Amino acid sequence: MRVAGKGLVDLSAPIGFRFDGRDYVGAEGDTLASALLANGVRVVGRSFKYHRPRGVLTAGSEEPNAMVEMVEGDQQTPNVRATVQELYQGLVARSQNRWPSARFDVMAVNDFASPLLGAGFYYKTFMWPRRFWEGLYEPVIRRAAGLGSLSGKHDEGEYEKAYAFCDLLVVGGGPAGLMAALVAAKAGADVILADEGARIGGRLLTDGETVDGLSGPDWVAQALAAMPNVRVMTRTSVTGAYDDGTYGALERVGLHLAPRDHLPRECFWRIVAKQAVMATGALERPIAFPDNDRPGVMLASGVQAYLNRYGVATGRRVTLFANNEAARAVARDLMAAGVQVAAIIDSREGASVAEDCPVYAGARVVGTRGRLGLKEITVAHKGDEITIETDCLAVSGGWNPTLHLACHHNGRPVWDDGIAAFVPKPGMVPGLTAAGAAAGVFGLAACLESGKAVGKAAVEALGLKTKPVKVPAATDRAYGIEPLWHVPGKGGLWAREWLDFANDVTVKDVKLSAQEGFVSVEHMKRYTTQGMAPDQGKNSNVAALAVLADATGRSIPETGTTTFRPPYTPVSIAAMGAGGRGMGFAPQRFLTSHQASVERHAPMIEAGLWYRPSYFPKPGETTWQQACEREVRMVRTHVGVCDVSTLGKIDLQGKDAGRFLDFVYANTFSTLQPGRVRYGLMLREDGMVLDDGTTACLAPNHYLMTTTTAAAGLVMRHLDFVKQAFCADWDVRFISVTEQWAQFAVAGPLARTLLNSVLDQPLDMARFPFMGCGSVQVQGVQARLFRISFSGEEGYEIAVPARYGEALFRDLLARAETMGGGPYGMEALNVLRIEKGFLTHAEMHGRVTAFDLGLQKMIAAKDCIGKGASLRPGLSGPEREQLVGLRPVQDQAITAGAHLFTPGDTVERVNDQGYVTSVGQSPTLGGWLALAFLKNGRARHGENVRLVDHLRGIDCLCQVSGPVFHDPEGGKLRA
Amino acid sequence: MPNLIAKSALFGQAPLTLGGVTLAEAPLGEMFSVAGQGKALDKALGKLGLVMPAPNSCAVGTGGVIVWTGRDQAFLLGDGSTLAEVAAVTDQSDGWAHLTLEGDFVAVLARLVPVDLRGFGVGQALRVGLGHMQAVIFCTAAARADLLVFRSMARTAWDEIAHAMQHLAARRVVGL
Repeated sequence: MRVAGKGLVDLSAPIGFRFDGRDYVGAEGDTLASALLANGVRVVGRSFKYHRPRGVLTAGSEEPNAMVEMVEGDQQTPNVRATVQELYQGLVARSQNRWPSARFDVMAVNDFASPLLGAGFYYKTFMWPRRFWEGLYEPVIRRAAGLGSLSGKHDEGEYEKAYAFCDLLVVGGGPAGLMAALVAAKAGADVILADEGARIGGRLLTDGETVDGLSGPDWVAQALAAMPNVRVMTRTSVTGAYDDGTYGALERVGLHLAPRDHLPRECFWRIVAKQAVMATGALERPIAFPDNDRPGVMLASGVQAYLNRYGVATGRRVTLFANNEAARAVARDLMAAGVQVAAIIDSREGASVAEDCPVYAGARVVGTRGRLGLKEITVAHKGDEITIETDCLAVSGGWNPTLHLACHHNGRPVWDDGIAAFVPKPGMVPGLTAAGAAAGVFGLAACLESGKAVGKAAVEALGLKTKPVKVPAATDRAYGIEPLWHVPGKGGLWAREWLDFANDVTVKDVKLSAQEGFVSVEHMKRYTTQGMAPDQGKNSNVAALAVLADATGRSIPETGTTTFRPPYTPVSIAAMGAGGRGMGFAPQRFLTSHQASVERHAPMIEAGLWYRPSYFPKPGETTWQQACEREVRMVRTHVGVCDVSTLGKIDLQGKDAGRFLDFVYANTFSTLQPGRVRYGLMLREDGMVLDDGTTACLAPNHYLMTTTTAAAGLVMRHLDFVKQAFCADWDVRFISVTEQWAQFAVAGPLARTLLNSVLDQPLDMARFPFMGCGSVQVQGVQARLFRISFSGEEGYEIAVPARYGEALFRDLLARAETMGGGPYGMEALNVLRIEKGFLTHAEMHGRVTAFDLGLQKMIAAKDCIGKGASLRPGLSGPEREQLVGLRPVQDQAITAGAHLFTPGDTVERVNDQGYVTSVGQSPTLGGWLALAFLKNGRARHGENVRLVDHLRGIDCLCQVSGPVFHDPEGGKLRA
Repeated sequence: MPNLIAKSALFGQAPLTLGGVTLAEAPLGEMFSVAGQGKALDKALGKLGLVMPAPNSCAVGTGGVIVWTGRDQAFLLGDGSTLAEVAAVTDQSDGWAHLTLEGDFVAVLARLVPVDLRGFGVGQALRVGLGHMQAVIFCTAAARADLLVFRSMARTAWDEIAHAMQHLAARRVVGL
């Protein structure tokens, strides 16, 4: 319920929300947790394994219990911490892991079976029969245990990714962080101050302490006003410390508001900082006593935060159970606000009893009652057991510095006996320094002082001059901790003391782990699952290892901690992958002819990042095969037009350009005359084939290399490497001109006629024999023409600057259609080139040599990249699989990927003779054709081989031939 | 006189203004890559009021804008054909889509470009990743960034930049 006059929420601004189907009203400034508590909702979910009713434990991002599903239309987000989720009008949330409701959950039967369900029980129990594990046991167990659920739909929410750079990143906007930021801002540093909360201030907003005579919130406002040059990032959790001063951070951009168009839900930031201050504060830890998980048992700091920040009393009669002096402030704040405090149970023998309520020094809570909400507690005090009626128990087992970021480079923290907690060591992450409570400095005045000192050191590390900054007046409360980790119960089958609320891990589980020999802290973690829930052990790590230490007779520092890994708080994959959903996965590359092809209903096929038309369907054609066969016939009998702009084009210039080409190509190019094109084969350094293509000599010392579409980037990188590594002093410059030119293949017996109809001057055939090239003019535009063919017909490729690409493509198509021709796509292109035995990367797949392809004669006498390696034994000879053509003896479908066997041999790996790389159904020759690699294949032309595709159940005899089926003499090319 | 219709990469695309930033496609112009070094090149560039730019820089001269793009390489937004005798020159006019961002472009680019843009201003140039593609970004006037991306990727670049602008504008509406 609300407490009059307390809190930073605006009760005059009521906010309606819905939880588990019921409507409630909260206030501006509330979190879902504070609003539920204000409305008296105590059970907010069920526990992971035993389905125990659970209530809010904390007021921070470490919350292990109050995890809910947020529902926004189709969007359903599980495991949202109600303590972090800010309230907005119309918010809809529901509890998790329960059926039918949080207050009545059928699976709570697990709790009654709990003596059988200890850590590791299912690994031991559900072993037989073995095959039942995947099919039966695991699915059933998974359904019974667990947290939130997903909608099963695509996440259509908006997410963002961004980069930020600064001199100093201050993580945490509490007293220490504010002081560090203030010092750095005054010195002129570029500062980012990030805090996971909706408001800057940290514990200054919740502890009710004064700074410089001002209330905590007022001083925070004043401090922020004094540093206008600081970039303040609220709702931003720094989640990981990575290399070279890079930090990951998750900003909750729109999650505190009703969904709006284009407003990202979250933004994943990569922040690069020269220096960083870790002012992340500390996390209060619970004490493990019997049945310490009931709704109403909370952390003292949470009770205080709900009172001072949200104006909510978490109970009518609150009891405090603490092992330290500082927690007394919570009881005092409650009493000052008019909330009844039933008692203070102080585990310390010599603790003061001077309070305005009963104090039991040297006492412990040994039992609780109230299944759906705490009703009473049993306290052991001086040999007696006292029963206290109470509906909220505020627990403080001391504080752990929030040192996670400092450990992200695998540095291990050190144990500080004075505060009974692990503290970071200096230098665990280069450039990151802990300040305030995160460094183990407890007390407000000390934190302010620490923030100033660390801020000053950071400024000096940045090479800036510090300006004087006064530390404001504040007092330190005494901490006075005497460790208490575990209060044993009376035993019994159902008696449990919880350590990890989120994963339902109890003291008994940790002891069982030790008993079973899992004594290393990392083994204990995996055996019990302690620390593996969404809170990643923030509430339980130190207590669990204290229990483990006790069970194994070691000290806590000897026992050590588990590994801290990013992220500090859960990060949605959607935020990390922002922009990468669907087509955002990679850029789309469109041809200048794209629109014209789409208008002709051509389905697109992806070639690298390019979208290329697969075929151009005509009315009446119902399959791609029909369109493909028509297009092949069209090219063979009339003329076809195909956009080949995707092929890589590299412009090379310089007096050593020819020499460079000789070096990177297996064959010779320095002898190529201007106006001529030559086919080239490029080898990798290991002697295998890298790529093929044609290179044209445009002018003396000026060449244009083409590469295959897929290898364009690869070849460019290779050329760069060769130039820089082997011949940096040669006069050769090269640059990609792939995108500059739109290039169209015009192929078929009528190709020349078609070209002559668009060119300003008819082709001078003396200039354009087969493998000739030169400049032409097409409708007033300077173009380049290459007489090359990938189809086996008389073929040309005409290139114009890309701005004219679409216009020329449409024009060529219209004219071709008038002549009985038209466009052809990738499917037809593939069949045409298989008929002609031309290569693609299906054949040049990285494991073949020039010898395998029958191109060994292309390796010229001169030196070239890969030549030496290609001469190694084993890379040539009859044992190699060599390129051949195949045709089924009786025509039938054959497949790429099928393997080849000698007829009569058994079909098994050891008898493998090779494999098929490309197939096509040839309308020209009638029937299926294939290109394949066959052992000693060139000597086996005319033989039959057995083709077996196990995957598709194909088994047939094929006749071996040379790879060129169509026009082997090449007469058509040269027509 | 060319009789073929010329189209820019994003022909017909209207400028987009959101949150005080305007994204637009620049008109089709001339652009040449110039690769080389030496006195002859310096002299020829001098006639255009230009020098070979230092890494990560650009400059404006009488002959156009010159932008560093790599080792011994620059792009001249202007007529580069006069340099063909003294450097390796290629026509790149149609190979790249030219976009401009006017207004507070830093916040927009900080969503897509993983480099420190604090202090990025007039006279500076970057060769940098933009989302999943590579880009040349340069600045010749205050509060304006020029971006060059591969022509074929212009649609993706536009969509990604526009998306970032939408996010920023939506943030602004709620005061973030």
